[in-house]
Amino acid sequence: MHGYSGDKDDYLKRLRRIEGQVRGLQRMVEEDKYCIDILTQVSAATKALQAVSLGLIDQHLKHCVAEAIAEGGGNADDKVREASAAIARLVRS
Amino acid sequence: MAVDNSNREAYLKRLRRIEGQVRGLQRMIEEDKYCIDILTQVSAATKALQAFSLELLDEHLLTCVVAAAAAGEPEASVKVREASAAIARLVRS
Repeated sequence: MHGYSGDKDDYLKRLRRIEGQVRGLQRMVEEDKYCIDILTQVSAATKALQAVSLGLIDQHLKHCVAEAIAEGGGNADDKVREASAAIARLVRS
Repeated sequence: MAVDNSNREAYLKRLRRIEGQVRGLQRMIEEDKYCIDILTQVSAATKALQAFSLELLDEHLLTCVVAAAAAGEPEASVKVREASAAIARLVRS
């Protein structure tokens, strides 16, 4: 079980939509669309990906990390450290 | 003006790679991979999209905006304002 397990279908739907957005970007490049219009669509796809990562991290904290803390022991520290590192990667991306 | 011909293939190749990354994310969800590993891959895809938009923006500034500036007003102001708005959308995304 993972934090996102209950929402797998929702995540898959969102990721398929993002895949479609990226394919739409290829079409725009092929059809010589105006740079600014392409940029607007890249921003939308980026935003959608960031929303996915925020959802994943939220559920990970609520489930996996909260459980590890409730159980206590060394695993809790590891889980918090791991989540912090993941958040740092998101902020930097 | 749209994307430069010589760059089009390189852009398409990058977008196809990003599309593959997004498909890989769907596979990870389907296969119940660990949240943190998925997050790492979402960060990578987000970074790739952002790098793509920075390049597109760079090309747009060097070609369309420089040409408009050389042509003088009112095109110059229009193009600069349009590029500023696109940059603001990127920063916010």
